[in-house]
Amino acid sequence: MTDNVSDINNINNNNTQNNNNNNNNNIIVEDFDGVSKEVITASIDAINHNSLRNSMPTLYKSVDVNAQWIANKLKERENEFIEKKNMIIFLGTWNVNGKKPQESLDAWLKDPQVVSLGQPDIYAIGFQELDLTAEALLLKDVSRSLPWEQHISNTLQGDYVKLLTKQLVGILLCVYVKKEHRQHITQVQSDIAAVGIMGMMGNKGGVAIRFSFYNTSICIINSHLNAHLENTQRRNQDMRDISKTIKFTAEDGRLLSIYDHDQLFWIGDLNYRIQLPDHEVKERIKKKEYHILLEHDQLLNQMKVNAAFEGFREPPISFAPTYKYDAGTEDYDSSEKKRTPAWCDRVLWKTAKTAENVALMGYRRHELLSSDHRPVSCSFLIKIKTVIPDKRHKVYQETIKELDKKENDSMPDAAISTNSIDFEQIRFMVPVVKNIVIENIGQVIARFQFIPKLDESSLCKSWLKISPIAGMMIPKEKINIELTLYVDSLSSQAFNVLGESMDDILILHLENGKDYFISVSGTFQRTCFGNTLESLVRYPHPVRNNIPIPPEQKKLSIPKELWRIIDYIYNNGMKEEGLFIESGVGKEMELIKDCLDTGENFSSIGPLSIHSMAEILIRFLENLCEPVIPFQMYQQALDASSSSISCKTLVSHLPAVNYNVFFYLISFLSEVLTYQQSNKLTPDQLAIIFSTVLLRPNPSSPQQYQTDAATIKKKADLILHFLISKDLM
Amino acid sequence: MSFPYEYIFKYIIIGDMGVGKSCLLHQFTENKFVPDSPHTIGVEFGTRIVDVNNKKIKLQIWDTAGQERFRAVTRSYYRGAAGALLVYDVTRRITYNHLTTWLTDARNLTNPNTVIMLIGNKKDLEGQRDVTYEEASAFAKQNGLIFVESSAKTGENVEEAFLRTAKLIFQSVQEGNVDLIPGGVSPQTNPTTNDPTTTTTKDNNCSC
Repeated sequence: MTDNVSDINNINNNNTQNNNNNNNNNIIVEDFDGVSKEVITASIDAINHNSLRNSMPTLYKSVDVNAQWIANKLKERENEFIEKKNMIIFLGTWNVNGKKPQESLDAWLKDPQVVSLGQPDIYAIGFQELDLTAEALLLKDVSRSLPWEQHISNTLQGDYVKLLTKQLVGILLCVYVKKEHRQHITQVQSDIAAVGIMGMMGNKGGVAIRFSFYNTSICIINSHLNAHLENTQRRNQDMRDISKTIKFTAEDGRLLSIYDHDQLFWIGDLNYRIQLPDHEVKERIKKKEYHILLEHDQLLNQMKVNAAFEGFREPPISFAPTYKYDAGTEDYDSSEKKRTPAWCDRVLWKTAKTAENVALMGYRRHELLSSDHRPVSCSFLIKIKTVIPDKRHKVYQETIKELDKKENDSMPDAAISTNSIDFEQIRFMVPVVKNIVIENIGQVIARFQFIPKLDESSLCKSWLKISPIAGMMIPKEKINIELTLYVDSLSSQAFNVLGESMDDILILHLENGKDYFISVSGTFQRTCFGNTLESLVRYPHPVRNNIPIPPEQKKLSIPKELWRIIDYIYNNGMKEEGLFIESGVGKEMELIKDCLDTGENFSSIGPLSIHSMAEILIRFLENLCEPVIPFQMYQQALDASSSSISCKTLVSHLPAVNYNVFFYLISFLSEVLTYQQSNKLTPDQLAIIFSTVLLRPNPSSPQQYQTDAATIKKKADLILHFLISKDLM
Repeated sequence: MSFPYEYIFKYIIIGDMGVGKSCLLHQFTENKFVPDSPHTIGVEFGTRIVDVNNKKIKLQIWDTAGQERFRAVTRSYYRGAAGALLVYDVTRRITYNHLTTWLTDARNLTNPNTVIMLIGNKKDLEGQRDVTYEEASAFAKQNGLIFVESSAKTGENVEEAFLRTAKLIFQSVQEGNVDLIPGGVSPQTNPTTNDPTTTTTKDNNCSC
């Protein structure tokens, strides 16, 4: 059993070390949110107690780290909102030798010498030998304590309220506080430690009460240690056992020892004697030679050699020994036993290194006669840290703000080289690339991605490409984002025909951070390429001028641009070998396009390769948003290609402009074939070349991938019918 | 609970360009006023934890671009807002005249229980005042908005604007009109994963 106890004590000891560091923080955490908390816990009974003691010291639990951080910050700045107030604590101890209350306690608790210096703010009153009956030892009867509590209450009257009382058999500790302070007392707890017969009966031992008084933690122990002159070592051991056994639980579940307090008081019948013969002691008492007697006081001598109460201090004694009297008299023990007088009843204190020391106000005995002991009291002035709520609130707000700022700062942040990109003049099918540089100017990794606008699925308009669309940057890193603007025959209609303006807004989103809007704009050069036949015949003037025919006026029969191209080839290249087969010159073709769009004469370009103009014809047809044979007639056209009659029927169903264009082209190609001997072109060749641009599947349909020989032949056949049989015209 | 707050309220700040939306945000989150700060081109984001009825509430504030050309894009940020701060500049009547359009957007794009607060900013520039308190107050009353005049420069009424809105939202939460997820319970309110986009799109769970 002894072994067990010492093991447990070791564990608790380890805890004590940790607790020391965190204790102060804990106190602030407790009330930091300003919610005043009533008494947290009252006494813990013996059962609870044991289960607590056996629990593992380190348990897993989630920790409110933010609250902890805030609490630490507040602790650091405590001086800004803490005010120190002087408080008086009165500690009294009396061994009542089993007597019931019978005389007024005023001479003890309200001794004019004590209260004239100020009304105590706290009374901690300890009794020993409240009950000497055998029942009390075994049954833990508390009926003896109530009359004493009542007696104290009557003495202190209405100014004080009981905080808590704790009893262990004959040992009782009562703590009273001034009413005005009650709301500033938190974490009130108590514990007991029995060291009596068999170590469990409780006729000897200690009770303890702890609480936080404003921001100062206070622990008071009232103990009754083993008696008799020769038992000094036993008393020392009792003290150590009590100090190790007493435990409290902090709000976060950590165990607190008695040493984890700013102010620790130990009172009681400690039972240490004077190691001198009876007659000498009595003689010196008469002569008030207390200093000589004190030299032989067991307690002082044990403390001197650190055998007990290590680190504790006792105020100087200037009063006669308080033990042992004949009850009701002022005479020391006259019985047969002739107990030698001793200072059994003592008050010791220990202030934590981090706490402000106390000031002694008086250590004295009081002349109450009903017991064989005299009561003792000691008053101290304690500097209590009190919080000034307004100032604390201000610091708290600043701390929260600092945390918010840090959190806001730890959001990713990026600098973007521009929020607005103007691509200026954009030509059909000429890609233009512009760059945006984003730089991580925050303190954390930044992940970005372009996100679609509300109710949209794509990140941007179809004529824009973004690369990359997402990425990650470590702090200070830069990433180049390439924006490519490219208008092809799929996207050109919007500008050429519908007259939309070229702009878009991109949203660059930083994960956990802000969004950047990037405006993209450009000016599209209207062109006959990537246009529609229907639209082109409404423009008698160059398309660049953008002046359509009024609705009432007659439209052109075919696009004038088509006429200009064919007219040029007709006049300049019908005999050219490789016409429509050889490639044109890229630069010349761009100039030709400009002439077509601006109305400029081709002669302004200078000498031109006929192949450039021939390829322009192919490109013009190829880039029509809708081919001459419209997408929706594609499959019909393929089906009709086997018979010249069905081909004729098909063509007769073409829209008027398409019909005109189709026959204009066929006439021209037939004319080309009349120069077959010079240009070496065959109907098959022309049919294949032109069928691929006149007859195209919708790019969004699966048919666009039909590039097999059979399909190619069907397409070519359709054109071929018209090239070889003149009567289809 | 391992987070220092129990609720997250999303706020949006809307109103014409140059009325001081970003300044209000910075004043509220960082106690800072940056004169001549650049126009917000996009959506900025700030947070602050406040106490309402002894509950810790994290305000997640989205400050939007005020330019007309971004109007269509900023609309996508209204979703899921528990509070909308509709700001005009007391020294520029034009910004006041546009309130109806902003209010229409706010009403159409947020929940009926969204608390909309009208803020007349730049009240420190009393000499240049172009819109009287009485006039705006009448407008607010007529449209059922709470109203305050503030100065992002001096800080006057900035806290009040944000906190009054939070109180009204909290009241709404308590009355059961708004179903908010307590912080730290749902993974969606976990600050380590809260991503502005996910926050706007999690409306299935959050009808605020």
